[in-house]
Amino acid sequence: MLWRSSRQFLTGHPAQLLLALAGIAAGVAVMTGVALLRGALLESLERVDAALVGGEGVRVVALAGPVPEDRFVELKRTPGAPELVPVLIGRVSVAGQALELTGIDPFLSRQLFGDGGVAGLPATLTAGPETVALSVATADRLNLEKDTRLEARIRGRNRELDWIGVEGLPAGMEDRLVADISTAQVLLDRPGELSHILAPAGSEAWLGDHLPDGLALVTADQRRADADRLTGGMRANLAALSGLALAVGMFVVFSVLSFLFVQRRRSFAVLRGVGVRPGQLSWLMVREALFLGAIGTLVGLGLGSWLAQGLMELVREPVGDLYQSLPARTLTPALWLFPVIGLFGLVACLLAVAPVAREAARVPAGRMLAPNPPVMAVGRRLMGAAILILAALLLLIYPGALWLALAGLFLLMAGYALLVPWLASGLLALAARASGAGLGMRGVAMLRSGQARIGPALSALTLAVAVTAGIGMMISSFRVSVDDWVTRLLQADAYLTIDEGQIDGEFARAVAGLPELEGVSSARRTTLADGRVLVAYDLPTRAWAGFDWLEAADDVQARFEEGRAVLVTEPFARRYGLALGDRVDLEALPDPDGLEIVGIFRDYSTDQGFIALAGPDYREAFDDPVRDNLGLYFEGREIPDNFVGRLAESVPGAGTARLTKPADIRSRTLAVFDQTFRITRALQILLGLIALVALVSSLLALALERARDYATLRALGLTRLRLAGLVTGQTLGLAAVSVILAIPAALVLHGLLTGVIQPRSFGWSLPMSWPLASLMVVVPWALAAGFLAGLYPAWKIARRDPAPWLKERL
Amino acid sequence: MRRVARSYLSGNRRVRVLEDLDLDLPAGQRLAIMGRSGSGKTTLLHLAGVMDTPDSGEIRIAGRAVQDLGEPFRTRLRAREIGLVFQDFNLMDSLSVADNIGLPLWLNGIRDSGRVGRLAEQLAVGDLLARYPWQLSGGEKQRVAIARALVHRPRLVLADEPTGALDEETAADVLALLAQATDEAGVAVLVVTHSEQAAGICNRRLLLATGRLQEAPAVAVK
Repeated sequence: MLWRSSRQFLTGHPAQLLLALAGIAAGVAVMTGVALLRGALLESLERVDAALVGGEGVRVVALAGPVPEDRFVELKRTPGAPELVPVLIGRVSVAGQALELTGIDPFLSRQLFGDGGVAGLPATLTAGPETVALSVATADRLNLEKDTRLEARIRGRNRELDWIGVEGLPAGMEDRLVADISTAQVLLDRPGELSHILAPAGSEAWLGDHLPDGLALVTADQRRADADRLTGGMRANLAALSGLALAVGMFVVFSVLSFLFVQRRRSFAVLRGVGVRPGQLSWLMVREALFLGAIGTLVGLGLGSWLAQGLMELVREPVGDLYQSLPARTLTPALWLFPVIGLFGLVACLLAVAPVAREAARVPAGRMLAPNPPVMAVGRRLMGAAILILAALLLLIYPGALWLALAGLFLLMAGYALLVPWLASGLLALAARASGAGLGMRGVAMLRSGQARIGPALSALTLAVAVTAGIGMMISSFRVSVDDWVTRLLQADAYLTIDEGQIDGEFARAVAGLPELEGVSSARRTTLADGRVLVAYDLPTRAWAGFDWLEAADDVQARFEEGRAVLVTEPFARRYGLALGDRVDLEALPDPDGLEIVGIFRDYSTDQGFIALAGPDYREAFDDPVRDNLGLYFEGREIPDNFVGRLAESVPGAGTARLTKPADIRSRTLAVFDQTFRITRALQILLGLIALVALVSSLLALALERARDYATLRALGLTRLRLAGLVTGQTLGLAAVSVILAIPAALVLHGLLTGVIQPRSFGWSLPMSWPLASLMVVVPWALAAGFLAGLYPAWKIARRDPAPWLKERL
Repeated sequence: MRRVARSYLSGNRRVRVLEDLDLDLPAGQRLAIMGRSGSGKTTLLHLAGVMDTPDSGEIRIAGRAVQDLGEPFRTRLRAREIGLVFQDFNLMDSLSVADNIGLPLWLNGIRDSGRVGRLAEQLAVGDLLARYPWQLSGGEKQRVAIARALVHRPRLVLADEPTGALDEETAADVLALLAQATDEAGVAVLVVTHSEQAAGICNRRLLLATGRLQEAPAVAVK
């Protein structure tokens, strides 16, 4: 019977029902979107291997740099060798979209091209010198038309390729151009090189016995651990955002459910009067919450999947830049994810409905008019304070534990949100004193008496504003730090790369001999078999000014140049718990004590960090004469006119040389930075929208609760316009209160994100700055949101004549 | 009111509530409209209070035809010329007693030069000015409502079942105060009620039945 009355009520109020569902769905959608994205980030680093040799396949990698192809041939010819697949991977761009070119030997990859695979393709792939295969879906997305050639930009050059659209490529091969290994080597200008060799599961033992020197084995478990480590920082940050979205979402759900309760307070009083027990009313609210939660969650899961796709588009390229592996565009979420998030959504609804259900149980029998509710229960205030203390303890203890810090951050925001209604009450009391005797005073007075109703919405809006402003400040502060860092780092007057061929020792010496140059630096980056990154530096004295030292020996330059000593970046030192004077082991440079760390410097290029080794040591140990680029230091600190022409004439192999100015690299770096944080900005907007739903729903609740007051005011002669002004003024006032209360929370959030979360998740510290402009930019948005949130209730209230409302009461 | 008619749609059926109704209410007169539930008393009150418009006919207040006025003019007229007393009091819980009484002054832009306090004293709620409606008894609330209806010196006071939520003794007190205050103000009062007690304070009574008014017989009131 009670449930029937609920159904009747909900279907009779479609707008409110829709608002409730929208609130729940929005919260669940953000959670789902972020969870799917986090999973995809982890999985994307695995998918190509899984497609080529199965999920449990193993990789053979070089101890440093690429795998020489002759080692593969040597291994392949060893009797008893398992099925080995050579792989070469590089980035290309087609129609402005980033893709990966994956070179393989199609005859050797049986899983992909053998029985049950895409039969017939190997012959086609090897038929032409510049033929690539791609899935039909990818070809359609790139708008490739039959019988046309595919225009790709590879290593700075435009190439026209023959292409074949293939049905049935596995998910891991989407967004990839598949080519024969020799074609890939030509296109990527990496003759004789492989990225790695793949072998099927079960071949570990044989490979362990027969692996040539300079190669190492990486098992599937190690690879997954690497992927987990690689993406850990970004996934943790996404989790933090998702947690904050959940907190805001829960306040929205609470607000919406309170709203549905308010409208039936009179009915509940009647039901209590005729003998309905308090527990039955509580159970009714819980059932309604579960019903709404189930529908809202289902919608949210669907919306979240769509949102994840959008978020993936935003982060795909920055992720590819950061982790050297482009995530697939198509998300294939784990099936367990949806029920888990669904359960989360329902639990959140139940937590949110708990106070409302308790309130429903306390409705006195037969008391029709709502009592003036207490401003805020002392218990809730105490709970808020207790949560704040717990959060502070979590943030202070275990300085290195990221998850504790994230839990502390979440609790800090939740605890503060619980205190918001109480703090708002104080602010409204001050406003009432200051607002005189006009419309404003009446608006504030109505707000104060409706505080219990608007409290949750105020909390949601305050949280959303604080999170938006706090994250905005963190990003601005981080951007300034990156800008300072890159500007300081780029000490050379220009950086030289070549499009064809390699910069080897001879080339570097020839460039250094040019009369215009005062000095030349070089860098060579390589990944070791254990996943650590090593950078070999040859640095003239001027370049040393580019280091921002956190710790360094007094004679750091001399000791580094002497050799047998290394520098490490801050993220590397933090990741491996190293300090100045500690030692680093490098397999290729056998030393019983390892190499001493003589300097730790600030670096934001990778959260994995790297070891910097003197160039001569590196070349001796790894037998790799190549440099990735050269830094040029001119006599007059300016690039002389026609220098590139003279370079091409004087240095053999410098015909395709390109010079890049530091300012261009700085702009590119900041562009990548901005791209990386696009996802954060997108989530910020979503949080704002969720808070807006909360505000509209609670204001509607307030409006309905105050319908009699508004009707009386209209009957007494308050014009529609003034009434609409009163209602929108109230919402604007609420937004202003939220902004005021959000400011301290935003400052604390920024301080924690910058000072605690960033170092713990990415390993780098950021000099603390307080970009108040990022805080201020949120203010007009929040006020505009408050104004917009008031428009619908204002319209709904003001458009009605008072007579019908009054009649309902008489 | 001259030849005023008002009907409503109830489902697919049109219900004629008032038909060709004529009514005069001169200044200083208290008129009771009586009738059974659903007879159209409240509709008549809402028409008199320009909260509703007739299907046909003419309504004049203080010599001015109001049936064709636009909504803003009707609202302004209500604020200036009419005082309202409701059965459920309709006081604003968020405002103090003083602010509730002063609402019409604020709506008309009139500065309170002690009028609220004097009227509150007259209606025996002078000690309650700082309280809030939820702290008052039913009788106190209705006295505050009467003060609110009179504070801006309207020409017409409309009272809809003014004692409907009160016990007999309290109702008698409140009615006596309403009669005294409206006498002193010299305003016209229209009381819609089915209470003989409430009708008893009026100079004239009419019975509303089948959409038309007729003289009601006087009944002795306790």
